[in-house]
Amino acid sequence: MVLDPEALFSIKLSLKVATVSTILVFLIGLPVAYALAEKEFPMKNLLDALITLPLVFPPTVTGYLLLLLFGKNGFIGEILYRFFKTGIVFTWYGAVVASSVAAFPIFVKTAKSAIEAVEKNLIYAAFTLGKSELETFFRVVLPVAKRGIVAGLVLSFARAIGEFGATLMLAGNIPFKTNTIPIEIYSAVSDGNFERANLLTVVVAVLSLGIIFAVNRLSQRGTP
Amino acid sequence: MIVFKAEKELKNFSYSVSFSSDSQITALFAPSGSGKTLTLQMIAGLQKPDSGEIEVNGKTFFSSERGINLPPQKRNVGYLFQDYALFPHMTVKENILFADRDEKLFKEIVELLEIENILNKFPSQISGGQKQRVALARALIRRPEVLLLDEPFSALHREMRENLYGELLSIIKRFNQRAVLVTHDFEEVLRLSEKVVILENGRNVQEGEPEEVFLKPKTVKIAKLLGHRNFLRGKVVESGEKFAVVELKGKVKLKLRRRVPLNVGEEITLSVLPMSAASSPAGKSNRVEVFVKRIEKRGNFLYLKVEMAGEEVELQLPVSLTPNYILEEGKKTTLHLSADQICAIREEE
Amino acid sequence: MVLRFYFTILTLLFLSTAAYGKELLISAAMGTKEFVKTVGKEFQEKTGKRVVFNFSSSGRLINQIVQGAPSDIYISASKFWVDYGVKRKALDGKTVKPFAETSLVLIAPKNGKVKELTEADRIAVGNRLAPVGKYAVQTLKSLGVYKKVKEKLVYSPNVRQITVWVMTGNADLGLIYYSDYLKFKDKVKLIKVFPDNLHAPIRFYVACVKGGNESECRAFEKFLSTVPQSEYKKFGFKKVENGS
Repeated sequence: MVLDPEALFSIKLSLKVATVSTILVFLIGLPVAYALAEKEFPMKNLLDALITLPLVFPPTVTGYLLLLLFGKNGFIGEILYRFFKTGIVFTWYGAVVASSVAAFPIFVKTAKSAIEAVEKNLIYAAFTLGKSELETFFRVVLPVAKRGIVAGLVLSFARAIGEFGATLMLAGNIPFKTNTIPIEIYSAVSDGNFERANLLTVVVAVLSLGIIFAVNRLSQRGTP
Repeated sequence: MIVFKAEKELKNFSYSVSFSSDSQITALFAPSGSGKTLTLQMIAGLQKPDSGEIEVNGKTFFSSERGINLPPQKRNVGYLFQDYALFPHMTVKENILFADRDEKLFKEIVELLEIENILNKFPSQISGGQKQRVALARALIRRPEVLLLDEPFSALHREMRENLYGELLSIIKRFNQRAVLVTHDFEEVLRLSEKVVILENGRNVQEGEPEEVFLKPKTVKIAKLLGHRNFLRGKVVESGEKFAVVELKGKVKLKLRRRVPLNVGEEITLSVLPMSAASSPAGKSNRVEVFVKRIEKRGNFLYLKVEMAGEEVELQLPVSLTPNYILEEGKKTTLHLSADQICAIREEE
Repeated sequence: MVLRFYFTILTLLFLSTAAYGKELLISAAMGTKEFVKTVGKEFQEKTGKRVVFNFSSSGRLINQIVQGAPSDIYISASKFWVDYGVKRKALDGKTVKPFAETSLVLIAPKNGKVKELTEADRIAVGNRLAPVGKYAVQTLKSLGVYKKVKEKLVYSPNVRQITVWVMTGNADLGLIYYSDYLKFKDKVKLIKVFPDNLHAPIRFYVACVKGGNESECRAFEKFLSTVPQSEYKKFGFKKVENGS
């Protein structure tokens, strides 16, 4: 059983999309998680609720809302078209947006818990020793919350690589362009090609497990 | 000099504390939940009062009137947290040098606190007493304006505490360090501080020199906090310059050194300190007949539960003095109670 | 003790509502939903037999049936899945009948400007191996534009997705069944109906499930053939008279 070029591409694509999404989610989600964990500000509960929405909605609904927002006639979509002459619909950027939105609440909630679990006195101690909030975040909060944050990243990656409903809606199924593994598997099953579906399932399972295992191992190093 | 005045409304209580102190070590004494930690946090800038003034060594940390609120990073206070708050992912050395890289001072402090041999260990690998020393080193290395100690000895047992009291005192003297010590153990207050401020439910209720405060508690409630145990109601029958006499139940009269203003005819509560029985039958003592209910020997002391003037009283006397008395459970005997160890308390709460 | 009592009650309730001879279970492709529901209700009124529906994609349904899910009648949007079911001995090959046909249409966003396939940036079609996708590719090839527009195609495993893309203006054109178009006709614009000779006949099949209520199934099939052409037309289908 050999993988056809489309399937091979979809594996590469899924890995690329999931990795980029996870990085994006990390960069945006970490400060958000910190703010939710440590700070008080107006409409904090509203923000928390909004972030949770992708978890509550069926992925297709999330995808539909994203399509309305980023699509040709959408609020953000129009801005993109004006400045970049292109949108994200039916491109791998669309896949990244869909996966990121799906994974975002998972990361934020996990990271928030991990940061909340950092003893407040540790942060206070750093302040009294003259360290700014930013420096305290990088030198105290992040290292102490590392395990939880890494767990959040792993969950995000898993969610990103498995994203289907919103991805299909936003990126479509275009061979050698936006055909991620879940879309390939779903199409294979719809067409009755169970061999292909099974093969792809095994591949994505092995890849994901491998990455998760490696990340967990790395994060355990260096802690007494 | 520390000038502290702060008010803050919180969810379950309101806080309004004001005191000033020029002592080297000032103690904040109160049972848990009275706002002791909050006070330290306000001095450090970790909590913001609704209104007030906080000034340390001439520097204004906070003034609601003038709109000043210095962030904790700029106040240079050394904070010793109750649970030490050592960074778990850093070695002892890294913890201490987290703030400052003054190598010379680092060496000096490390030697003084005798922690050279654990510099490369992690907080999880050292004992409670060692953690405390590391936390102290970390707090001292920036030569802080004031050292804030939040119940630093509460997690340690008696013996270790004794050693550390001495060490702390010598370090403070060595660096001429101003300190505020928060504790619920009055023995510590007596041992370490020159001035104590007593807090109760977010309010300061009494302050002064520790020994004085101990002998002149304003209320019975405060007296209980300080460790007084025996309270007897009576009426003042004599009030002179140095001494006063109070008549208790059963016509028992006790002479006591008059430290607070007392009026004849006034209803008053007396606190008989357990050690008042540890006096020889001479001069300023009272001869009182008591009924011995229980005798217990612990170490070099005899602990007595007696009935006196209709009340149960706990007394303590060194074994060496016992030949002076006939002590037998269930029998009456006469004891000598020192007038210096009896306190008059004018209010209940 | 209490648990056992509850389990017994639950089982009895379940058994009493099981389709064992009491109801007629129709598993039908999504594309035939409205039509099958209407016809099924009429059948229920006529015979007094309660009809229950299960709508999903043809492939998923037949797989459920092959795995042993209870069903009496199977209605498919593609011959492929019917043959699949017969091969796996889940369907009675003798009862397989095409009963309806539809056309392929070209749709566009309501205020879309593109009318020609060659002008479009993005054309939404079904997956190449899905029935609706296969017919679309056949049509494009017959029109001689397939090579030109191949790069512009975006595929979908289901029809709903195609209409959403066209509706929101992200796809300039879309190719779906006429019977599906009718469901969305106020949301998209119909450009044209493709002549039937551009693709293989788009046929819908009915078949009886082995081990189900086969006599009632045959009765239903007979009933289907008595439903007038006008009724089929309402839903965008052409009735297939008995034959192939």
